[in-house]
Formats: sequence, C-alpha cells, structure tokens
Amino acid sequence: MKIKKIISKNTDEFSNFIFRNSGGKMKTLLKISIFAIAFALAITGIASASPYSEPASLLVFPAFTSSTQVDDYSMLTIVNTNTNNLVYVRFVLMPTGEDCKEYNFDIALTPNQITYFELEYIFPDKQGWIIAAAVDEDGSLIDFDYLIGEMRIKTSQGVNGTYNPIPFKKISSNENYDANGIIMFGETYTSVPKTIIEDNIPSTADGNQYFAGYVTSEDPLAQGLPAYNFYSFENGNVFTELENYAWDDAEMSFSFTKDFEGCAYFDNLLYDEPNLLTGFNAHYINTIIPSGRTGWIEFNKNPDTTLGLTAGYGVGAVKMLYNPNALGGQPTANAFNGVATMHRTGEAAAKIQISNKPVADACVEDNGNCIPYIPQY
Amino acid sequence: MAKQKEVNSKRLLALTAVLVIFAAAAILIVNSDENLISGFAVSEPASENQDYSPEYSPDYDPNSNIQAGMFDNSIPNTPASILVYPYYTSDASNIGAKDTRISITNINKNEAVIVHFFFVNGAENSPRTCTVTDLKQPLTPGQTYSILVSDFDSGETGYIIAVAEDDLGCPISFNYLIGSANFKNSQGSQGEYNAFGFKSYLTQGTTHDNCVDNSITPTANLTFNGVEYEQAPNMLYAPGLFNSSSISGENSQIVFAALKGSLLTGMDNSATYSALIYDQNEQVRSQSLPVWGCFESVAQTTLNPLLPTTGPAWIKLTAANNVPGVGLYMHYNSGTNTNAFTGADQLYGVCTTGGCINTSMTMPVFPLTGN
Repeated sequence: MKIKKIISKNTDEFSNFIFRNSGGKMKTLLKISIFAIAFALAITGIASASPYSEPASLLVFPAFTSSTQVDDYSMLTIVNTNTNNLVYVRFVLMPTGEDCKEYNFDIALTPNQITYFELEYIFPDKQGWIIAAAVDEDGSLIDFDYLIGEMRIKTSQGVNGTYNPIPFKKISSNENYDANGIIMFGETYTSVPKTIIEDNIPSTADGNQYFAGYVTSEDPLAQGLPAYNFYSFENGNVFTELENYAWDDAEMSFSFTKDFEGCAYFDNLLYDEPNLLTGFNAHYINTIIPSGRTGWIEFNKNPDTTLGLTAGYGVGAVKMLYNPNALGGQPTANAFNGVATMHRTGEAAAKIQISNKPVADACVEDNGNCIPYIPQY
Repeated sequence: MAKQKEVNSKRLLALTAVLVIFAAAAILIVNSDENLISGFAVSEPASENQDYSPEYSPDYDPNSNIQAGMFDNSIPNTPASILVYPYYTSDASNIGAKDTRISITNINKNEAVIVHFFFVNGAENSPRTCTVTDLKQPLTPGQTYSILVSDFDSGETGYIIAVAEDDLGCPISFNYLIGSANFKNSQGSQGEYNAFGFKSYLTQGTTHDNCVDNSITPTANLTFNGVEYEQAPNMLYAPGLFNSSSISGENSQIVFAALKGSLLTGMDNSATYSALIYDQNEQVRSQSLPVWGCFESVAQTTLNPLLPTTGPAWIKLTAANNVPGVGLYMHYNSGTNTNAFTGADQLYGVCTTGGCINTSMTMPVFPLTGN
C-alpha cells in the first residue's frame, strides 16, 4: 500500500509538470500515447496459459461419493499455499438426484495450512460434485489464487483413484456478482470449456467400465439438458504402413445425445449405451471400440433450445476407469484402473450462484482440527 | 521561461512520438504471420445482461479447426503441440502387473500430423544415462492412438516427450494434441494421469527454430521461452501426502522428469531441487535433496521419514539450478480401511518471483521414412 501511494504521488507530480509546462496541449497527446501503449500491450499481452495445474481462487471437484461402505468413499484435501494470508473457503456440495439442492459449509485456512475431509463425516450417503471458493468474511467471492487440492475417490463399482480439481483463477472483480455469490466464468473467473474431451477409452469388450462425474452450469440452477457427441477412432495398422504414408482411415464418428439429468451427473458412462442416432443403432459401444482398441468422446452443449431449458456449458468432468482384471492374483495385460479430469477446449461463459451468507460460524482453528458445520439452504 | 516551456514541449512531443511508434510497432509485430497471437486469454467480458447462449463465446465449431493460438488462460489439460508423460514403466516378464498404456489423440478434424515420441531412460545408474529412444506415429484427423510401453521399450522406466512435427521431421505448431497414460508398477501403485501439454505460440503449421529439413538443419531446438513454446515453472507442489502412520498402509511417491537437454544424445542430468514440507499445523521443515538428474522417482522409503506422523502434508519443490521439469505424486495403499486409496496426478506448477524458467531441448530432424 505504501509503495502504491508513493508511485501515485510521483505520477501526479510528473503529470503536473507536463501539463504546467506545455500549456495544457500535452494532455491530449499524453492521453493518446498512454491509450496507444495500453492498447498495444492488450494486443501483445502476455498470455498466461499454463501446461500445469496452478493454484487458483476456485477449485471444482467434479465427482465425490460417500457412504459408510469401505468401497464407496472419498477424501478431499485442500491447501492454502499463500505464505502470509488467511483465507475462508466456502465448500458447495451438489448431490445428484436432489433437484439441484445446494449444501455448503465454510472453513478457514491459515497461511500454508493443509487440511482434509473424509466426506462421509460431513456429507454422508451422497454423490455429486463440490466447489471450493475463496471468500472473505462477508461471504463475497475474492481473488485468492493460492488454493490447490486433491480428491481421492472409491466407488462401489470398483473405481479407486485420485484426481486434481479443476482450477479457475479470478481474473476481475465485480461487486454485483462477487457480493451475491455469482461465479461468472469467462468474466470474473477464467472461462469454462466449450468442449470437454474424454480420451483413452478402452473397449468394454475387454472388461473395462467407465464412469463420469459431470458438473453442469446453469442460470439459474435448474434442470438442464446438455448433450455429448461420441467419436470413436480405431487405432488401425498405420505403424506397419509407414513407408506408404497410408493413414488409418477407420476414424468413423458416431453421435448421440444423452440427458445428464440435472445439475450433477455421476454414473456409469457408455457401458451398454445403445442410444445412438438413427443409422447407427447397431453400433453398441463394445463394437464401436472393439477389443484391444481405444476411442475418445467429445462432450458438447446441446444447442437445442426448443426444450425451453437454460442448460449451461459443462464446467468440467472427471473420468473413472475400472477393470477388474487390472489387479488381483493374475492381473491381465492392458487392463488398468484410474481416475483423471477430462481435457477441455474452447472457451465459454457460464454462471453458477452459490450462497453469499457471511462466514459467521466457520471453523477458524488453525491447529488442523477444524470441525466444519453444515447448514442447509 | 517561454523558451524553457518550448524545450519541454519538444521533449514531450518526442517522447510521445516514441511511445506511439512503439505501440504501432507492437501491433505490427503481433499481426505478422510469424508472431500471430490471436484470441489469447479469456473470451471477451460479458455484460451484466449477457445472454449465456452458445453464440456468446468466440466461435468454435468442434467439427472444424480450433482457432490457432486460442489459449485457455492458465487452465491445464488443454490441447498442445508437445506432450510430456512424466512416468512410464514396464516389465516384459510380467506385463499384467507392471506396464503403461500411453494414449494420444489428434483432435483436429481436418489436418493430420506426425508425432515424434522420445522415450527417456530414467534407469537408476550412477550417473543416470538419460539416453533416448524414439518412435514416430502419424495421426490422421481425429485419430487416437495408444501403445503399451511393454511393446516398445520393455523393462525400462522413465518419461516420454511427444512432439508434433511435419513430414520432414521439423517441429511445428499444432495445438491439437491431448494425451493420457495408465500405469501400474511394481510398488503396487496404479493410476491414470493426463500428459502435460506445452502449446506453441507460433501460427498453426509454422516450423520451430527455422527448421527446414534434415540436409540443412539436422537438429532443431525446442525452446520453452514464452515465445516459441510455453515456459516451465520454477516450483512444483504436491498437495496431499501422508505418512504410513498417519494413514495406515499409505505409500507415497513423487516422480520428476527434466525438460532440458538433448533428445538425440541424452537429457540433462543435473536437476537439483530443494523441498519445504508443511504439515497441518503449518509447521515447516526444509529438506535438501540429492541431485535428481533427468528423472527421479522418490520412493516411499525416502519420502515417508520426511512426512509428519499425523495428518497430511504438502511439499513445495523449488528448482535450484534452472533445470525445470514436470512430475506426478502417487500413493498406494493395499489396506482394507475406508481411507485406503490408490492413485496419481500431476504436480502443480507455479512461477514465483523471478518468473518461469526458459529451457530448451534439442531434437533430431529426419523424415518419417527414416524412422
């Protein structure tokens, strides 16, 4: 703050000097030049794209599950990597099958603090997604790009894996949104994708099962109807035909729509999906991706507005792969388990509104034994 | 006084002229074919009454080319021109228990590309050899391709760098590659992770390092400097590590892959990192680490004694000698408790004061037929 003041003062003196000694004619020129420089910097601007997951103000965990069962369990870890400042974090939990009912609780994280929750103890017998947002004590969304985290997840189907949440940085402030708990992707936060991609999908014919947790953005939170397109591209035998530059031409694509059924989706994906468009009805997933092959999927927002719904773009998704032959006494070759967030392309605006109540009852202990409270709204 | 005012006016006019010229030059540079950076950063701001319809955001037809240079701002797992898979392993005699499946996809629906894979051997010799084996794979528009490492580089452990190139073998800007890997190793750890994607800042299809062909440029430099390719961070974070006493049966592991050196003669073997380890009570301990070299797998036996015996910890790794890299954190637990999990994901990356690290790698240039 002190530095800012000094700079401001010197700038004023410099400006006064200019305007005093140029008879006022320089004011317009100076404005033009400053505008020109700002414009140039805006165009040349340093694109801060990153191949890495970076700390952010908002973390989205697209999938969790919790029960008293040992094989249906999740554990969330969150870290404040800022070395100097405390932050309040508002967790918003969106379960499946509850008409977009939001649950939330707050915690405080002191500088460098790490803490974790076993979801069963704070939000039992649910599955869905979680948002963790940096807020101030009034409950307003704030710029605090220092949060990182991790989700460990097991499901009753056999999934057991770990994924990093999807980070969204705060890129500007808008009191009308921030104070009202409105997360404006693409304006006050980095954008949501236009397309979400699941790659590395092995054939169900080889015993693979895959599941997805999907976060829908909507305005307001209500039932939505996103859809996805499906593409299957076989590996082919290109490697043996390198010298002839003979590309694999087996890249047929198939598309169909699927209702993600509301604000949260957590389910088996495509295991026995027959819902292909006319003309491809015979192509069940295990024939589209034959044994030993892999495919990939694009998830796109359904452009059909005739349904009268206000479905938003997907915020993000996580893929969960389970193959019972991956482990055990005699594990099979080319059988794997794993969990990872899906890829993304394109940029879109979207909006999610969360509770903006003040952080009055949050746990503020810094000894790692925070007991969050769980009000329901 | 009037004369002084006139002098000042002339000086300021000159200053203004210089600034305007600078601005104009910047615009021209950006709009030149060689340096086009269009549509970067986030989409245009929405007004308060913005209609959140598909028409709002920059045009993007998933069935056509993505706009070249359209970067997602600070968001990982987006398509890129170079993919780095920080970890692979396999055992030819037991591929059911120890192997890695690498997947790569060309999401461009109109243009083909050739991908040059470099397998960096991270075998724990003294010093590590960091030798490189390579493989080329053409990808037609929309094609996905996967291989089991046991079929290509069996019995080895290390990391993979995949570079988009043209049919002469020159690295090109082609920000349409995504990838991921599944692995299971002899420690019992298994999981899936997305490859790190480094975007090119050049116009789609442009070759890097003025590469022409093998007769003129037998090697090309891959320069990660924020002008050619994205830079690398100087810090890596692992978010959640537990001692085996904190969670019964927990095994933690960190792997690191260096991004510097030669993909022809061997990768740099001098990466050095220091560590700060924070527990849930914000207690921190500093830990010096041995030289990691091009690849390091910090095993449970090394990591466990560094972690607190109660609660979680996170680790902040700082590059000490400007050899950046990427990495994974892994954990494995064969127990039957509710909190017994297995999995892996990317280490977070941060550019702190002093900025990101510029780094480079040299790659061989030769056409596909020379594979």
